Amino acid sequence: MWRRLSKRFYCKIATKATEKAPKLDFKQLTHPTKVPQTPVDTAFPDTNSASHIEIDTKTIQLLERLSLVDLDSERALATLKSSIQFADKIAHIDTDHVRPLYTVLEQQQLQLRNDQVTEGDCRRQVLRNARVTDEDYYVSPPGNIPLEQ
Amino acid sequence: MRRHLQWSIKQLTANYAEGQCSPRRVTEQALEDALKLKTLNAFIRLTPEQALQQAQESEGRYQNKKPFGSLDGVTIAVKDNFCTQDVHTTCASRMLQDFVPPYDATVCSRLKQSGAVLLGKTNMDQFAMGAGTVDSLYGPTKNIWSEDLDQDHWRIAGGSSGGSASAVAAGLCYAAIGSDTGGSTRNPASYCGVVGLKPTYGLVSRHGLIPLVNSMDVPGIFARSVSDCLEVLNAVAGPDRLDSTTIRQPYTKLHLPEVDKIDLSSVRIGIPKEYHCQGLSSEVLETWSKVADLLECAGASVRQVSLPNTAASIFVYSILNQCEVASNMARYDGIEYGHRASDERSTEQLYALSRAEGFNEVVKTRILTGNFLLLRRNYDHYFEKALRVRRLIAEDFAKVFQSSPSDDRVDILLTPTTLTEAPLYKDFASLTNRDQCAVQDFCTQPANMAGIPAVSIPIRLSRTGLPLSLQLMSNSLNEQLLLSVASWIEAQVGFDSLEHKQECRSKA
Repeated sequence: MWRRLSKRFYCKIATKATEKAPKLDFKQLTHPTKVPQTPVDTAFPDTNSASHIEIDTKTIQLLERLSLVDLDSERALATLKSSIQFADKIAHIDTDHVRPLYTVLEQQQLQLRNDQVTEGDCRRQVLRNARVTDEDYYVSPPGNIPLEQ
Repeated sequence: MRRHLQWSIKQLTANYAEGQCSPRRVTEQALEDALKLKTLNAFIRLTPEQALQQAQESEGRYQNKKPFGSLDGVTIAVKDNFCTQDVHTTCASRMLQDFVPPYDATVCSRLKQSGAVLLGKTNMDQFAMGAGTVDSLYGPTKNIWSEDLDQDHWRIAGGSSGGSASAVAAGLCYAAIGSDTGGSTRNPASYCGVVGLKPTYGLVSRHGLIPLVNSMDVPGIFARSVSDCLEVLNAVAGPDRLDSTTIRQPYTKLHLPEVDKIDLSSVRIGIPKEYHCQGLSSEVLETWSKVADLLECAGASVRQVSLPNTAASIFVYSILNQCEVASNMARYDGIEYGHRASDERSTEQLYALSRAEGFNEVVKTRILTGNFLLLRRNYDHYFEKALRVRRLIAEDFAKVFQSSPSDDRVDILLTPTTLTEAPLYKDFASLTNRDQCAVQDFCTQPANMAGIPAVSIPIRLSRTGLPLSLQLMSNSLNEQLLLSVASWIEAQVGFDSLEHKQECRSKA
């Protein structure tokens, strides 16, 4: 029953679909094209060879401490270096008198709410995602011990 | 046979209302099809119980002639970085593998309020860091347009919202939710031959979207037509008191004019010349030129414009992304939620090991690089500098959209979305994550810099039978015109999102 009815409806739509425009010839243009037909060159400094980046052991340890992630392989270090070279590409752009753009909504009045508690009473739900709990508390190992490096 | 797959959302809900087909049946078939097409790996998790429950309730509402809204009974999938109450939300990472949010993202709660049936959570690059959906804990997602879905001859779906794009392209759902930080909705939409919309920043709430780059993240929408995309936008857009970065002015639902009533004679189209960059394929170029010509033939004014800071955008994007990632990822320590390692020597040790085990290499390197760029001695040179160049990029757009005299203005920018058709997995996987993103996001991430709306629409098939798409961008909150022009183009090119060989109806 369902199938028969849906078929009927499908036909109605199928007829509509055949009214579609004839197949377009993508090689044929009516107007002189406004789309550039060759790549527009961009001049960015070659930062790959220009500066060989050295990152000292102290900096690496600092980064590991801040990130709480190990920079554990040669490959990871190479990726870090090449990412820095990638970031260096914009160093030459003139940004004097240009203010940083922190948010694209800088022209808008954003909503501030009153500093009042509007929800809560969901301790069980919140705690259920913690692997280790004790009664109503999260549990962590001893603090104030620096990371072994 | 799945005739109803050909319907638009409007046709589907009209048929529900007339009792011609039922939300429950459509949902059951969608779940069956999703299992049959498991090889695509579009879903991380299906939620059949909840979906069937929602479908049952929807059916009851139609029987009582009281449907909730324009999405009642419509099957929709959600990317796995949107929180869903009592349903795992993993970001495709080991870190959040067991995370079950106690609340719904605003996008999800609004979909539910409109009666949508949520089928499950879709695959993505870990924490949305990627352009291919190849870096997922659950394995890569395949593109349904691939010549061959087996062995190593399959195409990537694009990313990071590849699962959502793949699910819509396969006809597993009518629409899907993704997220878009640098092109993560438009890129997979382009490769998978579906419509992908990145709304204006702040138009759709980010509450419950696990943050990647707060200043650029927006929820994105996938559908097989522009009008379906709009139905979903109408359901989810508008201010949200749970996200202070939503635009406060009330959202008025958009309506598309009939295609033959769209008057292009007053529409000014800009072709930003810098978007023809190295690596653009000749077929994409041909497609771009042809659609510009079609618009001109229909009376639109089409002219070349310049956005001189375009090429800098990908570098700025990379810097800001890594800096915000370094800050955002600091929340994952294994104590309150997320993966907890078994190292009880000290708190710091536990944090470090949990993060070492919970994050993949891409995430870790972005955190380390971000923290390097944010070091006190580097902060001005990289982070602040990038924010200043970001303003230049945003001003490029402002100039072409708002310049005076108004004769110099354009309303819409037409560009490629991706530079090529979907690459083969084996070719794509041989590049580093950064090169994958730097190439594939070239045309998409500038819109995120400026917060403007952009949509990718499929135009035609390449010689190898893969979708080729174009992108339209417009000024902030100009979704009405953006989608009207998109639907006009859609009608001219007549692309059928379900035309691929691997359709579920022909699959055993």
